[in-house]
Amino acid sequence: MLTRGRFTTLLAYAWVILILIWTIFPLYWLVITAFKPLDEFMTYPPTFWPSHWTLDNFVEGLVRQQGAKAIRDSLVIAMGTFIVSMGLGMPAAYSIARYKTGGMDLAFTVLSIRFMPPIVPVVAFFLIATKLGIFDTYGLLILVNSMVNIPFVIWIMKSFFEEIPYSIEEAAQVDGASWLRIVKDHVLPLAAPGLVAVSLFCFIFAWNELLFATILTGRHIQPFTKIVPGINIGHVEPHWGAIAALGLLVIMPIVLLAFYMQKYIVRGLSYGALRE
Amino acid sequence: MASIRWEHITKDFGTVVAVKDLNLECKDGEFLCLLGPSGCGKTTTLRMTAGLEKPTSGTIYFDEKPINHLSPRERNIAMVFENYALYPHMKVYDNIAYPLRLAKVSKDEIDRKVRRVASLLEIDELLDRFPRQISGGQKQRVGIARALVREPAAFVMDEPLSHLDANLRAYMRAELKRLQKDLGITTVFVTHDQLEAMTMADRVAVMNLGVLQQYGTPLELYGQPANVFVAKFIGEPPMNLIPCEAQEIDGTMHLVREGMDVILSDAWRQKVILQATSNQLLLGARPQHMLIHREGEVQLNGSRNILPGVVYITEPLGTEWLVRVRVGQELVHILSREAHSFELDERVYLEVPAERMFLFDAKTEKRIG
Repeated sequence: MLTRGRFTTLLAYAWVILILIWTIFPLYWLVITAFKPLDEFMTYPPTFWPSHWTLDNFVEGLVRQQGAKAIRDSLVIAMGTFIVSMGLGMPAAYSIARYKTGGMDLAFTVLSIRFMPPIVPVVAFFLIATKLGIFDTYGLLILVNSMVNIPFVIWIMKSFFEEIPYSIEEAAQVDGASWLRIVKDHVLPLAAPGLVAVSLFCFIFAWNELLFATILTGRHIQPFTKIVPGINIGHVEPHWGAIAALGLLVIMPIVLLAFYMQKYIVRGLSYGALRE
Repeated sequence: MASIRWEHITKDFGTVVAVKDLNLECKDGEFLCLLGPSGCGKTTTLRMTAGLEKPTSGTIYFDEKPINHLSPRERNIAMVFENYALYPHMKVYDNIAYPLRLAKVSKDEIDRKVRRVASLLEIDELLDRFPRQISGGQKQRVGIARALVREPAAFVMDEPLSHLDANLRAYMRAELKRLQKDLGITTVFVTHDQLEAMTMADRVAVMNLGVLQQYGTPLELYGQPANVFVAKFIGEPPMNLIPCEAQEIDGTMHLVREGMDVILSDAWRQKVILQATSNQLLLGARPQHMLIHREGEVQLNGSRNILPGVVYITEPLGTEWLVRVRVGQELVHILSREAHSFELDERVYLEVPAERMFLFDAKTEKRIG
């Protein structure tokens, strides 16, 4: 039995290591490419470790290819989307959870917007935006990204608010709290794990978004997801080093955020199941 | 301090009428129990008093001032919830301090009051813990402490003892009653447990299906139940009710059913003639008041209220015996202090002392007398 147990453990470890290599390899490739000099990331066969480390690619990506501006554009859009989605989605979720606003089906109807592939409405958005004169503005991208995010916010936050026993809010009412005070003192703290997880997802969705960023922007707004395919050496050959450098820069904040808020996210996504 | 008066209170939720035309009063400093089975409207009444529900019609008065329009926080009422409703993300100290913080009481004052009420309820040791780290009985005391700390005009309590185990419940019953007497704060207490109502309350309002059945002191409810519902609800084991028929035979009134013939006194006869809507009656007797005789121990001369029956089962309860006797189709319960060793199916005679007998109209279910 002991040997079999040891063998199983060994097998499990081997499997996990295999999966880890499979998932981490692209990330590793991204990191080393970002720091390889120009001649090295183009060579064949490829090297698995930079012969010497350089920051040239970051300069190329951020300055010459205007990556810094692209990151700023993406940041404005992601932050704006986060604020609008949470600002509109949270009260809606509370209302649906607490007062059954819109009856049983409203939350699901809202969620069904998410079932639609974003490519479907994008042509309509393009036409509407050009007619309204808001094409190629931050506002437009924040608007359409929020439209996709709000159902997600409502759906997740609704279940969090439903988990808060109403008697807690009633107790606070009787204790003398105003509605705003109840939200601040009880509803938000008790929904905090959900709040953190949903906020993070809202930000990430908008940060990573490509389709709207490509079709609904012109010359003014250049989110990084849009400029990356255009980073070339000369006219055809992608500048892999600059692309990797930029890629590394844009995933860093997300990785750090997710790492820092890990415990909230895990609790957030498994809330109903684990609570007492 | 406040007196509370409910005047023509009706509350419906769509098609369901939770409370129907309730008229009730709780005097200043009094302990009022709202008693009834689940769904009788007692909790709805309490919630309307606290301001968590609005009456569909009628007016609630505090000290003769109508308060229907006031929100919960304007009423200066403290509530203890059935599930305690402690704030799970706050420590016990902060739970108790919360109402004071909302009232913008100074920090020192808060600290003084919280510690005083905590020592009163013997939860000083728990102030640093979170609600999830303390037991049910402790949570309940924290709930009471949170209500107490404000020194409110009135307490409303929604079955605060129902989730405690039997020992703790008995202990908290006495504690709560003593606390209420010491503080003299008007208290409205909701329960479905008649024992709680009987032991704790100054006055009890018995409700059923949204309608007030009777309002009085515990002893009034026990001694003079207004109707069959109250008679059955108050007292343990519940009152025996034996259907019978009133018949005039040669100028005397008899209560007759198969195997039973009870001759009524003239005073009872007058009451039955005046108050009964038909000759269908219910003979009521509390198990504690009935006597049980063996064959041959009693003279069947018709001067006493005797019901013949056969022993169904006997159960020793320690100090007393519960004897279940089959009288016709009915099972009648008798509590007896004497040790009995009845055979199963032994023939016995039950006596209902005339002064302990109740009569109810079988149609209206109202008490005659």
